[in-house]
Amino acid sequence: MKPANLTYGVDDTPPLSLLASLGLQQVLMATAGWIVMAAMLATITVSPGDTQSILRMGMIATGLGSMLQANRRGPIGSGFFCPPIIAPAFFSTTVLAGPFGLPTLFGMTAVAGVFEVGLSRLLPRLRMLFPPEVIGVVMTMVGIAVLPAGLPRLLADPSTLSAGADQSSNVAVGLVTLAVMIACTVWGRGVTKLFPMLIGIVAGLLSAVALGAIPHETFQRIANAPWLGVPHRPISSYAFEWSLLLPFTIACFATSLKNIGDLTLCQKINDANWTRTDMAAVSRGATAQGVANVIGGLLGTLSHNTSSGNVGLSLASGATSRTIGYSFGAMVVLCAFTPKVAAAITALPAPIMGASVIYCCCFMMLSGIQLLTSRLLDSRRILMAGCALAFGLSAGLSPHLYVNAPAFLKPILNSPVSFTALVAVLMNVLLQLGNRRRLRLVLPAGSDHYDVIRDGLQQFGASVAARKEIISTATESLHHVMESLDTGLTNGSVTVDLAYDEYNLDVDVSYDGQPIVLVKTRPDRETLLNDPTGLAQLSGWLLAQRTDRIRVKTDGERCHLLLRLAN
Amino acid sequence: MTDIAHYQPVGRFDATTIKQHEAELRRLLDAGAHSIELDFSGIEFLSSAGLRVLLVTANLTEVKGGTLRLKGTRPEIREVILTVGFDDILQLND
Repeated sequence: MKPANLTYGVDDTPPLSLLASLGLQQVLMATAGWIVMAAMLATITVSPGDTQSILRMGMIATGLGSMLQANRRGPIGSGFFCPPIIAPAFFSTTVLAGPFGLPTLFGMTAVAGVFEVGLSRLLPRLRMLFPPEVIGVVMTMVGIAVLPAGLPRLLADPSTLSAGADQSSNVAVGLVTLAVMIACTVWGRGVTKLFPMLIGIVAGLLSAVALGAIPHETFQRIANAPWLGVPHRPISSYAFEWSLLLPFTIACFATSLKNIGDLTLCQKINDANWTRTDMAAVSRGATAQGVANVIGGLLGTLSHNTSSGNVGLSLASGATSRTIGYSFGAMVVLCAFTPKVAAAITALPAPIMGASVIYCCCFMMLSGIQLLTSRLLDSRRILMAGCALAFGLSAGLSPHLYVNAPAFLKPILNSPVSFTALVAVLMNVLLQLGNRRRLRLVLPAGSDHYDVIRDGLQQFGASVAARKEIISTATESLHHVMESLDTGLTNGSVTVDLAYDEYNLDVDVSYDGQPIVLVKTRPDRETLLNDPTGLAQLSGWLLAQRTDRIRVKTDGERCHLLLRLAN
Repeated sequence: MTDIAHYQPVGRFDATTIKQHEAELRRLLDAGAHSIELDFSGIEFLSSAGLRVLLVTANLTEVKGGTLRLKGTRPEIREVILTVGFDDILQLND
């Protein structure tokens, strides 16, 4: 079911006029990735001409990847708007492969893409490793991890500004941009609600021009760039290097974890009734990402992974339509053929980029926290979430702690999201040792069991990280059952057995006596007022409505009431 | 006594507490109230026995030309009332 906050959900198709603007808004967000790619290439010896070629090939890979991801037919594509962007997890592999030359760098990128495709097909079998609480932690970190890219730019840190730029006017530009984005989101109607970032960027640009915060050389660079130009592959051959296979493989694991987080976020923001990750869709999405990386490697660009920023923007603007994946893809490919547009996009002032990133972070972080707190958490899971966030944050806040770590681990240790995901998955598995997923309550006859049931189920729910709603419904249902039994259906003790797995909570209420009456229609007013069995009928009917499955079974004198609640 | 009487039960509205609530509601009606407004903000559980008392009270107010109103119901309690269709016989106010 489409959430109320979305104007255009994943299956909606915005009008053509809006598609272009929504695509452009997303293109502006994607520029952050191209800036990162340029920064990564600056760490190895690449000529300015080759850098331009690699960037433009990256745009083509991004465009094709976005279209593949939006596809819903066949085994490739999740059917969501979740475009790719340069993968920082491959930063260290780029540095490692740099000395071997560009043919090796791109050859290994293509090989990594093939490995990623293989890994994606295994994901449905790894579902147990990624319960909602683990995904919630990863999604939270997906938002937090982008902050270091946004905050210094928003607050005009000198390292993000060109030489001689005035810091205070740049801070003002950033804050104006962010304020307009927030205002459009909170008080906007219609078009202003759909394009908060685009409108914010325009406001930021106007204020930048008014305050003289855009250097003259920027205008010159845009003016000098040609309107049309066919991008060229920076290489004519490919090479393979065995010693790079392990680091590239580990980087693939890191990006796959991030892909799972982003694709789960896509599922959650598009379904108001979302409860768990659809790993089959994630698998198809990860396959699309792997295929895009094979294409990227062959074209001559660096590895990509799913873009959290773009997904966050789609949520913020209420437009998550997968059709935007196609319009965005077409526009990005077009950018690769129009150097002037590409130059203009990549020349956006840093504070405006920073404001855009921070704006999207707000939605990403809170989406993860919401998912995490929707579960009852016991100390095992609190420790899992806390440690995962702590280690993940350490990768971003104190990267020097890991400078002496083996090079092959760097792709994970350098990425807060991947590090968080790895710690969360491992701790979740380890801390489950000895954790029982069953509970038995024995309720003696003739006493009030209300508190025993409520407290017992709360503790059990927390130990298995069940959804709060399912435990609340189970508790309420058991109260109804006990009230019915107290009408004379049993005189002895009642045993309640609970069994929980990732799909269901099964409750078996057994006792000696008479079975509970289950009726198919709601008892009418007359029955309730005058029929002695009216109350029992209402109770049984209510139970049937509140649970996903209900069954009565008798075994001699022993009666069983079997309830199932879908998790 | 005014036409509309107010009553705020707290805790559970089920078989274990219903006698006390039922007695209080009867007292209010016997004292001349035509309508009753129940502040349900303090109720954490509503059972079928509690629902039956609501039905009986709604019937009695209806006979007197009045209504039974519930205000401040928690979402889970409201869901139970809606599930059994009692929003037809009583007024659910926010």
